[in-house]
Amino acid sequence: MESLASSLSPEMEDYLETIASLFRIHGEARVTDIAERLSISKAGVTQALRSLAAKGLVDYRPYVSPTLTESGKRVAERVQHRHDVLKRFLIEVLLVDSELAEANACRLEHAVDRSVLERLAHFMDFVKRCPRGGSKWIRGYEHSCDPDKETETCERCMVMAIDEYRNRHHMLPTEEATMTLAELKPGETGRIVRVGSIGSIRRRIVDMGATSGTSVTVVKVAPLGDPIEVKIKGYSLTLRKEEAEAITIEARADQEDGK
Amino acid sequence: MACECTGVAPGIQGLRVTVALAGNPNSGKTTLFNALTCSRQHVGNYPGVTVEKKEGEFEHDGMEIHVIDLPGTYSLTAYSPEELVARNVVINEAPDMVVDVVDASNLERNLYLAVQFMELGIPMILAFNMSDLAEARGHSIDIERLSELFQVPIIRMVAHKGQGIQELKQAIVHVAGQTPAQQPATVKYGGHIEAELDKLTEALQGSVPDSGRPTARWLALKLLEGDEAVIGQIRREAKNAIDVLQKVEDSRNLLVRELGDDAEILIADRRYGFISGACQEAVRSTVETRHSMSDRIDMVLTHRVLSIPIFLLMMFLVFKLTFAVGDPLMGWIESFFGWLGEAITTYWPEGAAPLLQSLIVDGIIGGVGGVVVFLPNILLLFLAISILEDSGYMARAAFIMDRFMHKIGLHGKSFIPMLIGFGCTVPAIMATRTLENHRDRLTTMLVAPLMSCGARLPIYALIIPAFFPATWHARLLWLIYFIGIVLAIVCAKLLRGTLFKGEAAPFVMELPPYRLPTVRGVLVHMWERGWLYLKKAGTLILGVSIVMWALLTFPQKIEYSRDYNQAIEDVSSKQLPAEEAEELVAELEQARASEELANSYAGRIGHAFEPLIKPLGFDWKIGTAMIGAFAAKEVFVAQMGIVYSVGEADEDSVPLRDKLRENYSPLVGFCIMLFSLISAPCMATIAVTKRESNSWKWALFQLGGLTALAYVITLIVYQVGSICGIGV
Repeated sequence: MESLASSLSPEMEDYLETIASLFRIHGEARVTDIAERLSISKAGVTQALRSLAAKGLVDYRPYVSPTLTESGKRVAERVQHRHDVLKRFLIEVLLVDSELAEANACRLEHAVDRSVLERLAHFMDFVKRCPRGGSKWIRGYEHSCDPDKETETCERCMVMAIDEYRNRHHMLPTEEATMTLAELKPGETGRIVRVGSIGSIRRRIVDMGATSGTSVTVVKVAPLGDPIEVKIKGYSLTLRKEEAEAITIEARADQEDGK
Repeated sequence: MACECTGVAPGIQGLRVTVALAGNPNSGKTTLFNALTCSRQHVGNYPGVTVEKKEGEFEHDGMEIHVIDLPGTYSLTAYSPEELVARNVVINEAPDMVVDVVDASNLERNLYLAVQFMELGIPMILAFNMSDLAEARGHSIDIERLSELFQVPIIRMVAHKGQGIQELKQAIVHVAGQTPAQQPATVKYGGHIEAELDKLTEALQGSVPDSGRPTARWLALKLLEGDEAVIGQIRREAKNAIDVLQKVEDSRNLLVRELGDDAEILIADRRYGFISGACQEAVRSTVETRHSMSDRIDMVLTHRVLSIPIFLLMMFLVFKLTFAVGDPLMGWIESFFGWLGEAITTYWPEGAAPLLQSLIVDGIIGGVGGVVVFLPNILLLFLAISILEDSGYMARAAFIMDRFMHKIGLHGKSFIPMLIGFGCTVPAIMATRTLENHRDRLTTMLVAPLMSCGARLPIYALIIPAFFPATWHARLLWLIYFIGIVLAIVCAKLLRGTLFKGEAAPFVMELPPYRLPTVRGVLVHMWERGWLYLKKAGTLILGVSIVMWALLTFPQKIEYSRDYNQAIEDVSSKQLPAEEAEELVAELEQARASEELANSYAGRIGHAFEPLIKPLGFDWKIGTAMIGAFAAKEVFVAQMGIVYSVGEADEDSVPLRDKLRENYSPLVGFCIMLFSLISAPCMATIAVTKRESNSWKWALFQLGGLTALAYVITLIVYQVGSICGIGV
């Protein structure tokens, strides 16, 4: 599966992405529409579809609109995810405007390895969280992009960064580190940062009250090691570890000390 | 027909009101429903889904109030059939109002559903149930303030003590009389999302019927949430569907870019934000007691070491209650119907309409008996299940067992149906009702017959001693049960990998606080299940019984190989000693019965199938008996007795065992057991599967699938066994 996806050419990835997108909008992906979106001849599309069908990514028979197979859907989802991460990086960190970001993300996405991409996503998180970075730092960068503005303000900026850190330090628990809910031990409490993407279960978890910022305490682990019981919004919720792994939290050291 | 009905008097319309009762699972919704409607309830199914539809009626202040009990849900997404049903009822059946039952001791999560009903723009009343518990936990709720913030009336109540019921009835009458109806507050989603909502609402104007519900704003919201049911509806119905859906896609992308998360997550966040804001204004919580009663019970019941033995003990008790207590009752029922049949036979005028006599005694009374006989098991099982569910233990049992059950492709809650399957498949399939997820439920239902039920035991008890030495008996019996379990696991895995493919059902589940089940709640539940079984499955079983009777009885006119009547007369005229004469007559009658069966339709089908079952080592006699076994598995034994002319045989019948030994090899004996274990479950199982899955498709799939599986496995065993010369 992994090797299959990485061996796909950018063009092929584009096809999968386009089919998925057309499917979301129209409920089917007609060859004509695919051809139009990618500006490729219908014959070219048909040929590409055959090759994708041979790889087991698409169900395709002549004269019937193609559909993505389960593995095809997974690849398309990953391509989309990669695209999103890149675009967010371009917009949020490099402050590229959104149209340009879109176009560049489209070209970049095929050239970047999965591992590099993960680093990029991580880096983005880091920039936002690190007291030496953060929103002020990015604003400073914006400033520096403008050649007319003077840039000799480093000292002031660093003082501001320390202030920001102290403020946050005061508000937030002493040792703040992100981890997943599955890593918490019974009795420990954390605060939800984000519920990661795990398909439709994600929505369910959020519906049950696991919104970001909510405090969550692990109560116990089932006798066979899975699932776990947590207290959230004053009631007991159970979830499997694989589900808990998708929930990013900030551990709250003060709670642990208090016990 | 006196013709006074010339027209509806003005104001009459106001006298009948429809109320949809909504709420989270465990919010006490069922208790409230029972308290409101007393005995005036009826249960059915929503078309095409396994979701049960409960309705009831009551009267207040001269107003006739019709209550639709919506399935208990946490949200109103298109995530589960229950949630879809809940919102479709509100949209399509246009009730006059929603009464949402809220567990006041667990306010925020319960209000999440309430907010979604508010978004549908329907007048509503919030019933704050378990208010006493909320206070005991140190939450003091300013109901007036909250009512103001949500723009809906709120009634404080303790449903199981009957507190607040009158006030709620009063409020329903009051809300029904309001014109114009009061609209609940609107949740505001903040700048970015509201802007997109406005765009979509505008795009939807004119393209959807403007009939009030659902509002364009609601549709826009659902589209933005990526709700598949609504997207499908727009695609089918809206004129400018492509344009709208393109806009939806753009809006969703824009929101991801601007706010950094998927729209549905952002929307859920905002809803909880709205609720939490309201609660901060209206709820004051003093410090919660650190360990509630529930937590203390849980320390034992879900304890790392103790929980599993306690669970096994509980399951043992459930099994014992269902079958050990049920068996004598079943015995009484069987003897009652037996006695009734005898009585009719005795008083039946000699020789008059023998066919009618047979239809009444064997067909109808036998059939009704065959239906009613399951009732003690079903009632007792649901007694146990109600207690487990209402007390909150069921959720813990699933929590404890989930790891193991999940590994074999099932849900933690599948354990009870599978276990009950060892007693009887009929209540086992009914017990799958406790599983919320459709795929889990069907998988469990389809494989449950592989747990070797009690009715198959007589077959094993007949066959094993007939062919195998005493030292093997226990081991063979274990082997058969073991094969059943292994096959059930394999089939469950297979089904989850093929037909019911997709994400594993999540285990995102609430562990409700422990509560003392109420006698009334338990009895109502028991009664409901028993009645539904009799009404829905029972009639079907009765029908099939009569068909089975006909297959075994017709055709009436057959050519006997000799004149039995003459032969019997000859015996009596010979003036033999009484004992000897009786024996001879009995032998002749058995031979005649055997011939009748051989010539009946069942026998002919058995004959016709012989070439097909030959490769399994079976002859037409086994085939015929297998057809009889479809009525009930244990009938196989009696049928073998008839075809081998040994008279009324049971599993201990020595003459029948001798006959079997003479005619078949041990390998064939083993194959009979194997085939009985796996093949077509009895007709009662099929009828119950039909009723519980609400579709013939699954019932027939179960019938065909298991029979095919039995055929293949028995074929392999017999052929391999024959070639290797094992047990031939």
